Amino acid sequence: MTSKKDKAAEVSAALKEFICHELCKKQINTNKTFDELGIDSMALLRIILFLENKFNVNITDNLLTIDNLKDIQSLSNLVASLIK
Amino acid sequence: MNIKPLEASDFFIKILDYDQKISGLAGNIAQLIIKVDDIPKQEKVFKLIKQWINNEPALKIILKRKIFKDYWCILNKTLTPHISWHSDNSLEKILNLRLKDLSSLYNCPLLALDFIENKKELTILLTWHHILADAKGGELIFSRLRGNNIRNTYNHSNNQQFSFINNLKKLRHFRNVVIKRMSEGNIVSPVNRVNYKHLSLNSSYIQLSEKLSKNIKTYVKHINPIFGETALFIAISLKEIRKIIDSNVGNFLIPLPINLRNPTSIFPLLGNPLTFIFLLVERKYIEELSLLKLTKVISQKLIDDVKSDTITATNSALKIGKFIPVKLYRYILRSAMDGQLGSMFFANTGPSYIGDTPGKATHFLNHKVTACFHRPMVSVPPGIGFFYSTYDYKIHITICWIKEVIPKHYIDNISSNLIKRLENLI
Repeated sequence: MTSKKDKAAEVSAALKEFICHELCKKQINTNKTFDELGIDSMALLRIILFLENKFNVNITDNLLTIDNLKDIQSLSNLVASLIK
Repeated sequence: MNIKPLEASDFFIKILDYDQKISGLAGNIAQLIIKVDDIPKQEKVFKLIKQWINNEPALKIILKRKIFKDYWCILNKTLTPHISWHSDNSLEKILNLRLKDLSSLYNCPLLALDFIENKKELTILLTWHHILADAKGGELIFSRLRGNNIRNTYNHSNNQQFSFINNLKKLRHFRNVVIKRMSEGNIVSPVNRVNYKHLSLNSSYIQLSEKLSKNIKTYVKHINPIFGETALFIAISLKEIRKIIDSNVGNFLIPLPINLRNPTSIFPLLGNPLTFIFLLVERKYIEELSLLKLTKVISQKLIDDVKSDTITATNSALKIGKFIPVKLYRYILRSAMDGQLGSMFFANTGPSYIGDTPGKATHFLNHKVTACFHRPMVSVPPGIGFFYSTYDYKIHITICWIKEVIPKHYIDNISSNLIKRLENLI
């Protein structure tokens, strides 16, 4: 059985790859916030759509909060908590 | 020489450009206004420019005209752009002069630089054609001019496969998004059709304090952490412009430029075509809802549009322009964006990237850059545009309007109301 921590790590790795390859086209520092990475609103929404498709989860509007959308870690934790 | 035909999304820009020109406007020209708090020596400035010219990829791109088509070309060497130094000249005069000059440039760089010296301040004006770059691209050009070593690479390869059938299928969504929205509005022109001739633009500039800007940005993140800021700016602009638009006009359609850009691409337009969300807002919402509620409604509409694939559909539909007759395409776009509904030009580009880090303050030849304003193109009636950006943690707002169509006292009112609304928000 996969632990929540493992799931978060899996989401985080997929998210990092998506940002590096699809958005920034370069290696990124995963400790930076989305703002610091230059991720604008459209890019952020593309990230959410990517995660919804990839992990078959539904990130509802009430989950789109500042704390959940701060950085890769916080968003990965959210998605991991939604994976069944 | 590598000659490529204009790509589909660029074709859309071309149509808008043509539309503006036949209305007496300059076309899709973008301008960036940089204020420096002291005047560097001219020799130093020109030395810097000389270094920049050799390495600036934007100076390799020119427009060429053939009988029926315009082409952009990438040359294998850089060309010198138009550069002028002015003393005691009015900024508005130079802005308008440059708009008209640049709109008819062929075989030259689509970029001009003006330095306007006034008392103890230098204003640097960058004017460029939208075919070359969007607003963010203009910021990066200036960043390189001041000596920042941003990667001089760009990507204009056409990675997306063109499928006419797929695009046609998506056009059905486009009909829903734009054509249907057109029919939902009253077919009333917001301003009397004027025989536009040699129109000129005026601008008004607002720079909010760092404290107020910070408070606003924190506040809107609680409304919606993704689109809160943009939605607030749209809402506030709509609340102001509806006063000058005919009361018969029931709905407002705002073509909201967005860019699904690769953040590292220095040519957002050539490499990452610009697209639009056609945002429809009912007049009754604008009038009856509080600013906060209207902001929430707009945020939700933006999220719904993105999630329902509307943007992809719109983008694909815009690409149809490559396959249908120019006149028909122009008619569709013009009907969707011009006069059928209330509208305005709107853009929010967020933190300006003219230094080493987006949004942070920077210097030009060791003198502090105190402000960075974008000047919006005005592509839709009634002839008013709002451009929001942030520099040095301060929100910058430029309101641009057609001088001959909208009286200045309207704009003075709009400016002061807009500031009051933002101040009263917190």
